Amino acid sequence: MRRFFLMAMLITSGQLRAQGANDRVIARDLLDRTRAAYNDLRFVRADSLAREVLALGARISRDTRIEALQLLSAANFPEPENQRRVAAARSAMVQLLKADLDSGIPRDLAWPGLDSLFRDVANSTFAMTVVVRRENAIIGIAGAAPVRVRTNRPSSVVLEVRSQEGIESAVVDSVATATDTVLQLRPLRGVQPLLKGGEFELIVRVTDLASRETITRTFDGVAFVPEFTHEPTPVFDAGSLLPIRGKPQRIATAVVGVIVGAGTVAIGRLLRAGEPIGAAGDTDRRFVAVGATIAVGSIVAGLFDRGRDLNRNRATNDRVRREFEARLRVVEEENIRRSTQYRASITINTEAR
Amino acid sequence: MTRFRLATFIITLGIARGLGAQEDSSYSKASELSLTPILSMTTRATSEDSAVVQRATGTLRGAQLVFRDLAGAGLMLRYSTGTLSGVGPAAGRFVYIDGRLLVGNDGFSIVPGYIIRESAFAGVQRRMGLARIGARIGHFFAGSGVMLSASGAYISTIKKESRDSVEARGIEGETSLKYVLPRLPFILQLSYQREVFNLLKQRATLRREELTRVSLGIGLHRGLLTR
Repeated sequence: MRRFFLMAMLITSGQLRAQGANDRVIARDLLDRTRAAYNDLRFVRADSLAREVLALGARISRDTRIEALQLLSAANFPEPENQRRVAAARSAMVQLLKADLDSGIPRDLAWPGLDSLFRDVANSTFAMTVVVRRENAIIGIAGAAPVRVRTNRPSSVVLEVRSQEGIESAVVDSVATATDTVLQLRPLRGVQPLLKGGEFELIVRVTDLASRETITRTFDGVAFVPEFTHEPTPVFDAGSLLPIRGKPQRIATAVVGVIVGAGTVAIGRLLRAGEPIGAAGDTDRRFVAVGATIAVGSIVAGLFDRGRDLNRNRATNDRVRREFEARLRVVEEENIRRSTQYRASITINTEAR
Repeated sequence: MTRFRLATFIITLGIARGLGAQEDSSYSKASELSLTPILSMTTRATSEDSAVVQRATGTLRGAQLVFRDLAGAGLMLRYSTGTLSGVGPAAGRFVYIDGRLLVGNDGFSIVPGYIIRESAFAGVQRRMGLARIGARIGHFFAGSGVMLSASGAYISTIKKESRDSVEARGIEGETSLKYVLPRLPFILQLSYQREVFNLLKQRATLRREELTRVSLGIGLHRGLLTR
């Protein structure tokens, strides 16, 4: 599977490389001519040539696009006041900022008026920069490809992956409020795959918390994500435990206590010596108090009967728990071993679409 | 007749208890050993002729040792001594040594034994040996720590005294409540014991006795389940 993706990438990238080289030559030529026209103070011509570069769309690189927008901005806001087209210049600057928050007007094109206008546009334009790493080796199931996102206003940031066909998509990371944050593109969440192997789109979506304006940037990527197989964690079945206490014998304790108490009275009354002792009345009447104490004491103690301690069951339960914990430890250690040995890779095209 | 009924009742109940005793695989028992110092508040009434009853009271001090194996068979030794205050032959120094075998199980035991009894008789301190045979029924409610028992015994000299041919016969009844404290090796005991006793010479009754003891004890035990 991995070989297939690598071959597909190589073939596709070979064809794209040839086409891209041609586009780069055309774009470079157009940019040089734009710069020449700007230097010759032919600002309308420079504007036209810069727009031709931008018209190449996705076929030009991000850097080429930024350079074209810088020239377009400068061509529409030159020093001669009568040749300025402020709206067009502002529009180009907005696009420039949207392409890259860190971009600006290069020194060779800059002059105080243009810088001032750019600062003004930058203050009123919501923009962001996304930095991704091309090759990302994922080590362990918690490994991730970092995606750094910077904005010029407090924003919510969402990182989403979508299959190339756009059928499946999932949010893989997000931040509620940030101006500079690093989100994590993880192939797995826990042990569940978030990112399936193959080509995918990485979508970074930032939303200005104040204006609710949203900027989206999409990157193409290819992932090699082997399935992570883990031993299922055993679940302790509490129902298998034996009862650790017998049934309370409150009534039996009370009944037997009353019987023995009555027996005490019976002994005191009936077990008498012969005459004259037996006929002389009770020599001792404590049997009543003792009998009552035995009966009442048994009843009271019986009320606190929580059931006999079933010590064999308790020992069996302890053994069952120990065995389960040992089994759990083995599974956990095996899963830790598997998770640390897990490897995946994510390749991201650093040029956003 | 009453004594006969009492003995029959105890033995019948005991046999039923013994038959009902069953093993349970959910818990195991250990041998029981307890040593309990005991105070016995004793009342003694004697009559040496058919008209006069003389009484004496006092506190006997002593100890009781009980051992029972896993099946419930074992032995019990009880020693108590003290001086009873009063008038006539009922009063004076009194020594009581009681050894019993417990043959049976927790629920029911046949209890043979031997008693050495020392008290004043005919103006002198006299020691007398008596055999006993009896039965005991009991039950230990381990969940509440309550142990209840009742016992009865027939007491008799084995042979006549050589010096004056005096012999003795009697019957004894006893009930007992023991309480095993939770998680502690202590046991509390309350028992009531009544012993009626005749001294005979050539079938003629020389003396009648009625001895009643209320005993209290706090002792140590090992082997009883402590919840």
